[in-house]
Amino acid sequence: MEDVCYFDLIPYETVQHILSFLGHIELCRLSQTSSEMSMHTELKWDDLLLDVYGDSCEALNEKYVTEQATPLSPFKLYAYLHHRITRVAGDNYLPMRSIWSRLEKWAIANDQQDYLLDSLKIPITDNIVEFSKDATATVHVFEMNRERYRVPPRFQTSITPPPIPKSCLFPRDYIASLLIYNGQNKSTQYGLFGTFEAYDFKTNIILLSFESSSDIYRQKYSYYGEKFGNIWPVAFSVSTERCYYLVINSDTGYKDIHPGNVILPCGNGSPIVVANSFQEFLEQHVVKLETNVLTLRDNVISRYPEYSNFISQVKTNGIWVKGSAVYVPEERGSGDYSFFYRISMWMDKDEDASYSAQLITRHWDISTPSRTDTVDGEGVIGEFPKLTPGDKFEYCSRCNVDSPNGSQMSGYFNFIPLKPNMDTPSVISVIAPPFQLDISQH
Amino acid sequence: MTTVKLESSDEKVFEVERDIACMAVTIKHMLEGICRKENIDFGDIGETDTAIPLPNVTAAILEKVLEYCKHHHEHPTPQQDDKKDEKRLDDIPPWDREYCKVDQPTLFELILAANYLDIKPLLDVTCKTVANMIRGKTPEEIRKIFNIKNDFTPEEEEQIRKENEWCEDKGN
Repeated sequence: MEDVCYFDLIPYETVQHILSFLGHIELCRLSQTSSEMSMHTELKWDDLLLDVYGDSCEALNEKYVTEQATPLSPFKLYAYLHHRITRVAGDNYLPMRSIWSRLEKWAIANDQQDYLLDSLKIPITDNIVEFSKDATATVHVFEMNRERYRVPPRFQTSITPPPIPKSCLFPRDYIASLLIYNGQNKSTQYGLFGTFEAYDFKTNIILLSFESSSDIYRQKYSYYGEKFGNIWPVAFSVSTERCYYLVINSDTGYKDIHPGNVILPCGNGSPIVVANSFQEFLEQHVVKLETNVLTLRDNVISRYPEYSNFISQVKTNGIWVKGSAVYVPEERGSGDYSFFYRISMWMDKDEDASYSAQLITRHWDISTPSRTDTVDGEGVIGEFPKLTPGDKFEYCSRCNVDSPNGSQMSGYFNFIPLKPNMDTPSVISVIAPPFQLDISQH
Repeated sequence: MTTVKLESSDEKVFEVERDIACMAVTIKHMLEGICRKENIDFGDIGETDTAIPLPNVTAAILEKVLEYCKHHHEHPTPQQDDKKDEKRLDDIPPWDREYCKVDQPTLFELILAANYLDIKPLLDVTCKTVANMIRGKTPEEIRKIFNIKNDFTPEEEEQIRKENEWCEDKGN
């Protein structure tokens, strides 16, 4: 009895069942014990790939092994992904993968293959940046040479200071995300984090690729030095310089802000902590898309929430009106808080056609904790929209107030009926229900 | 309380509560077969005297298997979702862990019995116990524990060691 190997006495499927409770370390070691065990373990790598990397061997080969002509075997692929993904992203890959899958699912359900999905870049490779085992990577920065700005260019010596290698410690969930999609193409109009606009301009907040993040990081670093050494840009809008930063390294320099947090600096005072982690940052956004809090306008995600505790919608004489505002931090604060807002007005399809009307004037009460301003004017943004059943009209504008919260806008639009008759008044005041201007909506 | 009779390979008969015996899917199917054949209601199965022969299980092992079924019948564990990410954790409840503290021949016989009788939770917990015996051991230690015969030539052994050395990378 002494030298019986019980593995030889149980069915093949049962050995496989035992092996399904093992991870890669045990499988590797077990495969070294005998040729029989080596064959047994060989069959488990497909399952392990699915468990750890969430995809089939075929799909993972396609995503990660593009440079080779022949796909890797499950064992070789696992070893490769272990080095490329798990070594630097730890256990963060799969949770991150599932958030990205939800986003892909949303995008496909909304026909965004040619827009948002097309703008996403392939997983980051070692050619772009090499993360070490402890999740650090080296980024070369330049110290600003103040002398250079005093001397006119033609008198400058051609000697530029050598770049300084700066070691950055990144949160592993962020690395995991880069290993799924390395952000978006710099020039895309289909920013993952959406757009908001006003009459004079439009933002487009994109998820940055590692390369774009590095460029911005280097720029900021050379202007502001160490102040920007511990915050790493992750999402950015070119037109407003609005930037979400990930807190990297161990010392943040800010009270109550911790490494791994995602922050939105604002001109007035301390930055807003948008999320505790990069994963939370991305997931919050995906949830807003999934629940239709954020919706598309012409294949672009609009950042004005459709629903929130800060807005409401009201119908007057068949015409619905709703406002929604977003706080837009400005780099250099003037003491004002700048809000962009979108006003939607529409008539339901099955509404009584006799309510059809044209907007002629607007009236706003903008109240802040200290005072109330009123605005009256002809039309909205120079237009006099007509509404009939099934029509929707939206416009965007902006408003500055002197308080971060506690302000609101409300008012009414005067409409004239398109088909006046004896029973209806000649002017109808359509209520614009209050919506809050609150920096928590950003 | 309805009971049924089970007969081990060494011809020992056990009288067991029907619902406990039915935790073994194989026995459940056998009982259903008997009901069909003798044209009786499943609820009246106690009426039949036929002992169910289990030629692959000895009395000692059957007794141990029934101990497991009885305990889990009396202490049902709440139904858990098959969460993929928890599959590889060696999360064995304390009672089951004590239960599996047996010598290796018994453990593997329990595995065989659980497999034959189709008692999934028992199969899982015994297989996990074996998996835990592998965990944290070097190839040489694993060979010793399970009497696995090393049939590699030194060259083959060296080659396979090289192929697998990435797993020893402490970076995970």
